[in-house]
Amino acid sequence: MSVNSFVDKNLREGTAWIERTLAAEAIADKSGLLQAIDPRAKLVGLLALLAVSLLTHDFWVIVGVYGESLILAVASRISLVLFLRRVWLFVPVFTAAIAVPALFLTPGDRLTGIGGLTITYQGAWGAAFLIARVATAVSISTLLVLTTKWYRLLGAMRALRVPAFVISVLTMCYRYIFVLVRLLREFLLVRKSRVIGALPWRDNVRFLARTAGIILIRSLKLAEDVYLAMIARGFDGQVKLADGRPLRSIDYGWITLTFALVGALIWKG
Amino acid sequence: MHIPDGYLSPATCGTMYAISLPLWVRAGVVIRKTFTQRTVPTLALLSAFSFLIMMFNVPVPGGTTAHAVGGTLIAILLGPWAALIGESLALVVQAVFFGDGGITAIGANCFNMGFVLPFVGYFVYRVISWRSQLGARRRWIGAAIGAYVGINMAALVAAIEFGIQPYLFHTATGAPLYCPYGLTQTIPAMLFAHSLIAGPVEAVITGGVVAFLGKYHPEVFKLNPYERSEG
Repeated sequence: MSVNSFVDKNLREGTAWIERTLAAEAIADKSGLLQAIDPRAKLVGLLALLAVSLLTHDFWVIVGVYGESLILAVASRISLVLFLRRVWLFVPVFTAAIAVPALFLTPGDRLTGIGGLTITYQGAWGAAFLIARVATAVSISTLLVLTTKWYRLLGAMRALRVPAFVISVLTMCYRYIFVLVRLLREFLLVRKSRVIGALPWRDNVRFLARTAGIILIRSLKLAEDVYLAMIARGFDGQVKLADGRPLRSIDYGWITLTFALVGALIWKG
Repeated sequence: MHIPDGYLSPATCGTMYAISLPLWVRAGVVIRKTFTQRTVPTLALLSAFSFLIMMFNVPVPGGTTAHAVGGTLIAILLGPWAALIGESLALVVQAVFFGDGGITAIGANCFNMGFVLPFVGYFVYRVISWRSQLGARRRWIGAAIGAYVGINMAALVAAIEFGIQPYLFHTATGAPLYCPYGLTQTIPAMLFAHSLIAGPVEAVITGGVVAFLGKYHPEVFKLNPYERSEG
């Protein structure tokens, strides 16, 4: 492998990741249904839908939750093409590759055959359950990520009794991920600009190991600098976070509606 | 090795959260003692670093690339409890803020990649590098072997979590409700992939970073409280 191919791949994927994150921020700024709901209420409602889609033993209940996720995406002004692409690009790569062999490998009653292989009734249902569940779960988490600013999601987690210490570490971690990604991109660009042609695999791996080592040392130094800056601003080791504003009627309406739907799906299933 | 939502039953996910919870609490106590007031920024940067390592595309001979986890590396440099917290928070950020990896599977993913991987990897590293100097050859060899064994043990545990699903959760007609493969299929499949690709990648990166830091920045190893206590 030439140096540029794996350096390019890292640069390309890093850029795509930043673009995807910025695109999600732009969607979270739109005025849609889920954007209007308080993140605390949204988190509770979406987690309830996720729980139903994972708990149910009825395939059609999963399909029902998936259908609702599509309606919510449209109501939240998320492009259906983008939404479906985000979900269905993930599903074939990680799930269909696993689900398809299950059609043939799961023991049970013969449903049909392809070539010399037998598809079993149990295998077909097993594959359908897996694909439907994963697609629905990914859809729900995508709705959450696309319609909520990260710091508001942290506020919602705080309201759900996640310790303040964990919230403050997550807040800082999120910010510094971007600093470290930028640092990594600089390392890769410097490497790309200094190397012509292909290098042996051994040299490429040595470069990556050194890069990882240097980034770790920089991270630890940065942690020390951040700590000193925190002390300078009055940090005394105790983490205090501001309480959120009270829920509004739209938030209570959303929770009621979601739980009514969850109840109906459970009753049907 | 990131388990998405839908592969494990909610009962398995709940059990894995219950198993991980006391480990997180214990790690929190150890970390607060180790880093005192520096805990928040140190853990934040450590988690961000773990996140970055999981994003890295490492070249594999033959033209393709693979991702590393980095759990054994963090355990060697900062101690296994710091690795548990760093990996766990990175997995939470991935699942909750970027939609990568399951939200309900966070407990299982943290147990596999945050607990089994670094603790097994670190144990093997300590055994091989016992009483050796910082920067000694045995250090990076131990790190590489530890990382290889650690990731394969984590893969084995993940394979067991997958493999018990069809025995425990199926419809009345026998159709599997979650992961459709039994232990006889998941264990060979996971170990095959991890022993041939992910394991060597983890070993090469971990061994490479430990060799580099041992040569140029041996002081970093003293951040590990177990290394300090040995003098």
